[in-house]
Amino acid sequence: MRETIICIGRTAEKPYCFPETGISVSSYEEICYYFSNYMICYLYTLPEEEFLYFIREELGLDKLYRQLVKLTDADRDQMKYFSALFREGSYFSEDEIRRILDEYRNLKNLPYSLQSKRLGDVYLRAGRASMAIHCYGEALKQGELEGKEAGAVCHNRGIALARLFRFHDAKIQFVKAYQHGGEEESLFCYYCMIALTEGLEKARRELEGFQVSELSQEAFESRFAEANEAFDYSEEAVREEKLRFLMENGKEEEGGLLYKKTVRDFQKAFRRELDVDENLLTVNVPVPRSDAP
Amino acid sequence: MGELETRKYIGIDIGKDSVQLSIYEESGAEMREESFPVPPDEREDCIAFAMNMAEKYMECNGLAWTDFQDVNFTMEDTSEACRKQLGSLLKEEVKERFGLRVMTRFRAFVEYVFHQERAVWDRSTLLLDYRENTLRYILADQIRPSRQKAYRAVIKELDLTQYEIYAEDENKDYAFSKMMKQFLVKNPAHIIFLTGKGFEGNWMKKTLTYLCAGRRVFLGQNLYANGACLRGTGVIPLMKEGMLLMQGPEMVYHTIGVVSQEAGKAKYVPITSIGREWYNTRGTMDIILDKSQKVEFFYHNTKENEMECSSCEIKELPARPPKTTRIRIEVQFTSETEGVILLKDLGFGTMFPATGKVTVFPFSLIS
Repeated sequence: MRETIICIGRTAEKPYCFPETGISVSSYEEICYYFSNYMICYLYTLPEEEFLYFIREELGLDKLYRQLVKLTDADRDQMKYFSALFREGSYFSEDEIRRILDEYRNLKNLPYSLQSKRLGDVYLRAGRASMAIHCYGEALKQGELEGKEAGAVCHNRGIALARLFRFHDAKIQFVKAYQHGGEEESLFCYYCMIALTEGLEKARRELEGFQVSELSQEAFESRFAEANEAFDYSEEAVREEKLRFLMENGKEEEGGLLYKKTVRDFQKAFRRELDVDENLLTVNVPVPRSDAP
Repeated sequence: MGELETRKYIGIDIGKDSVQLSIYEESGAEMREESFPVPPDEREDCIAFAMNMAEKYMECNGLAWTDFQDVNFTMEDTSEACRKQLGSLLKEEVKERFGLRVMTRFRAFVEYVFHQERAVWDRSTLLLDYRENTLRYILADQIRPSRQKAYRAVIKELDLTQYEIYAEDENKDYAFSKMMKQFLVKNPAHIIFLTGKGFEGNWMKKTLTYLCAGRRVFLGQNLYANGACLRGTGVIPLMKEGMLLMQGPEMVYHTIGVVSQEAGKAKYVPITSIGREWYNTRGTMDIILDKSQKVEFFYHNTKENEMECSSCEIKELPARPPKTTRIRIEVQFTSETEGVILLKDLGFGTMFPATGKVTVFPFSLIS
């Protein structure tokens, strides 16, 4: 006999957006799924008060709201908060709840540097480059990470910096990543940064210093060419082409409008990447343990 | 300071002989009732006559359809053609506001009885509807006297010629009382309601003496309209809980549901409930698909207490991780034992957008 998961509560008219990831949820089941995937964001804190109002007002889950309000005290075990939340409906079975809470416990027991790294990865995936850079900085500050782990942090930090057009800083991070982890991917990213800012010839010369095999060098070049080609067919490239055409053919007014719109769109797209939520930095990121340096 | 508005409900019973109208005001002690005999030349189109009379009644009494909280109809003939005709005659604004709410006279009587105080329905209650030398009866009694009591209402018909009762017979009273004695031995009742043209005239002497011995007997022609009217005030809790089994034509006595887990135990959760006509029975529920794209439905025959299972596979959904597909199930009946289950893909919020794809799963219940 197959058991069915029955949804509880209403579907919200106004979805709730989690500030950490920018992901919106509009039902109890979506909340459960979200938390099971983003427990790392709640190691030292709990969801904000607005989230509880959302549960009461939009989802109509008054009993759950009252239960969670009682569990939001700083002294209380956060595990109890999530346990009560997951056990309200039948979205997760008892075994699944236990597994999720075990994973949560394991996350809590991780060294602070690794917690910061994982949180940084969440921010990076969510398109919050500035927040990710901060978390990677925290991870490296502890000096606990070595080898591949340290390399991965530097690599991801480099990607976050590149997203903010801080190519020079990104280059340094990719070199550091290669030094720690020895991953060719980091070197490829370094190659791309130079190729973009200083040209292909300079990038080729730089690689010589790293004693990269000819085969790898060819692979880098073809990957970069493919990425370039892909960009040529992208929406952005078409817009850029149009802008150039308008400017070169005496349609400055129209071109000016398109330019303004393009800039506005870029600003909009990059706002989240640039934004640093002070609240999340001070409250919603792991607090170093008292014995940490 | 604004005056608080009193909530009003209206029930209209449309028969071939007469049209009954009942209005219930929450503040009033009694119902306002009105009866309109249908002239012989209007009987073919009694629905149009009923609507015409209802409009005129409201006009004369300074009422409008929008003054009511709910509007319910009950009809002698609730066939699809009649329901459609009523729908076409009803004003658009009324349909938009209240919908077209038609019920059988069987249900209207049960609504009337179960909207009364508990003493009226806690034991056996009987309705005798006598017209055209046919006696229709509805018996409502308790079938499970446990802590969670269940009730059953049955409608049946007796051809009185078999009991040698004829409309114009001089000995009708004697023959009727004799028949009732036999009848009440088989179907004991503590409260009896009498309705129908057959009881009119002053012919009942012996019959009444027998019926009233140790029982409460009420005679009235507006029971169905009153029942329809009271339906608007709220759903009978027993009906909501599925504790009122109604056995009669057009009535659904199967529930359709799924099995879910509650506190670690499997539990049957019905989507539809019993006690309503098939055209008034529908249900909706949102579920989440687990690893597979199959949904198992369970059909519970409440009359025989039997369970049947059927599995529906939802095809061509986009690949998503387990538990990230929300499906809206809608159950609709097309007859007492047939219908369709519609399964609509709602996706999973912004994380996994909906396709809106609808899977149609027809069902046929074993009666």
